Amino acid sequence: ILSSQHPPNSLNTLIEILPHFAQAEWLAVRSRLKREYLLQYNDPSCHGVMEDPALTRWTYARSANIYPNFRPTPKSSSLLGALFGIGPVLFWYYVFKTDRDRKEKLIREGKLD
Amino acid sequence: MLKFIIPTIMLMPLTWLSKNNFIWVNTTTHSLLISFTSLLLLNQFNDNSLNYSLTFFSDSLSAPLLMLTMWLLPLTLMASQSHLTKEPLTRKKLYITMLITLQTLLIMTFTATELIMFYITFESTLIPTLIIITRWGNQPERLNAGLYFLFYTLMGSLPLLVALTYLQNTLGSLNFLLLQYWAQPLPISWSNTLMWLAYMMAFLVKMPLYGLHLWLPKAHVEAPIAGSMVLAAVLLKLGGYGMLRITSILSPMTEHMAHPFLVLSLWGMIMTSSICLRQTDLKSLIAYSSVSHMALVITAALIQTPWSYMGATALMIAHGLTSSMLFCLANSNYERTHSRTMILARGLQIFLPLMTTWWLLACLANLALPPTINLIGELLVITSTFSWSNLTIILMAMNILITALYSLYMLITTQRGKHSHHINNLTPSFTREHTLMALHIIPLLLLSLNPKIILGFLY
Repeated sequence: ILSSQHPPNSLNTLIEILPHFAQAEWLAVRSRLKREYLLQYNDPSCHGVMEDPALTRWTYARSANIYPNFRPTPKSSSLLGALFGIGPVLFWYYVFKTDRDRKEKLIREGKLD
Repeated sequence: MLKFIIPTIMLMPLTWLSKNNFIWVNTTTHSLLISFTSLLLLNQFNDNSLNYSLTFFSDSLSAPLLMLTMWLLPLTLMASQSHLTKEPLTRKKLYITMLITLQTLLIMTFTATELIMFYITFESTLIPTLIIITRWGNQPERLNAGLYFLFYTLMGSLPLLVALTYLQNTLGSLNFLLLQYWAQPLPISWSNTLMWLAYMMAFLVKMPLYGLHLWLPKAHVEAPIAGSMVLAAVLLKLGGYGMLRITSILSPMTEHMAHPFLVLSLWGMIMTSSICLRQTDLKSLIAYSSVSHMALVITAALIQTPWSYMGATALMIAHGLTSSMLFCLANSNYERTHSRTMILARGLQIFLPLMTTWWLLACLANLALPPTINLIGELLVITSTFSWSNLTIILMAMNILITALYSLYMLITTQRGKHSHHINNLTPSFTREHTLMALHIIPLLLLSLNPKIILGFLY
């Protein structure tokens, strides 16, 4: 696990060296979240949908706050953009232009109705 | 035409001088009555136009759009009642005044004879819409959305002003009825190419064309419900109406110039439909679906065959009603959960079964189910593009498939499946909401019985 592909940083090393410690941290966080959720769920005066801040962060990361959460790589932006944005437009332009010119020629010569 | 414009302008003193409890009742009732007078426009001749005066006319293309606009004002007022309850009285009246101003300008746009008047009212519709989006939207992104909306549309239509003044100088008059007979075939040259672009850019940005569509998801998502409804149902159709009018004086150059825009709208149709499949935000999904349907209208308008013009006008009316209804349904979700995320309010069939009926009808109309007018429009466009070039059937078929996929995806996510456990305290549906949906879907279903009134001037 401590290989050249995963350069060691402090977080990596901690989780590998002290797995039980990380698990206990996670358990504490999860039980706190669950307690807050259950408090709201069973509260009779709570009206409306209970807000989940993680869901709010997720929707913002997808729609409005994209730049901190997305790093454009040559594969993700240039390749994808060329493959789906520019390539098909040029391809279909040439396809339709040749097809239409062929049809116009046939119409002018009277061979098509 | 003054019989529509003056009552609509008079709705403004009605809002400001009504008693506090009665502003909604008064404005909704009176705008509904005004919309009934628009049914007089159903007396359409096929080729001729009904000339009310030197400045206003209506023909079979503008009459259905006018009826749609006037039908929509009472619907927008009904839809806005709930989110404005907490506002102070003056602000409520201001909101209604903005909607009424927008309505007056739209009526004047659709009936303008003189093209400069069309241009002025076309641009002036931006201002009330901008005010509605930036002032009464719900998220801080609305400022960005208003900016994109205003400047995209403004930049696109400034060349149109230049081109129209040039036409006025050369031909002497911009009266549209005379222009149809004076127009001469445009020879192909660089300056005529630029002039063609100048005419069409305004409408292509408004429609929107796929490459220039960035303003639409932002504006639709951030606008309050009335803004979204009017944007989707009417303002996009301004672009379509303009294109259908202006292509009659621009031929035969359109055959050569139209290829890039045809390809952009054909491919853009598929791209935006595919994006709909990946959306988590409900209003964003409906906004992208609007781009996809309007791309069909652009394709039809650029091909310039009789069937495609019929398909374009039918699609415009059908999409206006369907998309406005979908936004109202999304708003009914938003008012309950205060979030536009689809998965937050899922499995609603158990809680709100009658609203499910409206969701079902709206999604079925959106995917162009027979015998709705959506299907008639799409079918006419598909057959005319097939005759234009046989290979377009590949793209069109893919688009129908993906449209069906995302419409059903939207229906199933919001209605079916296991509900999320914390939405058992949703407020039940109001009668006002049911009325709103019924008033959207009933014209749509009735039009499938007599679609020839919306098929435009080449029927």
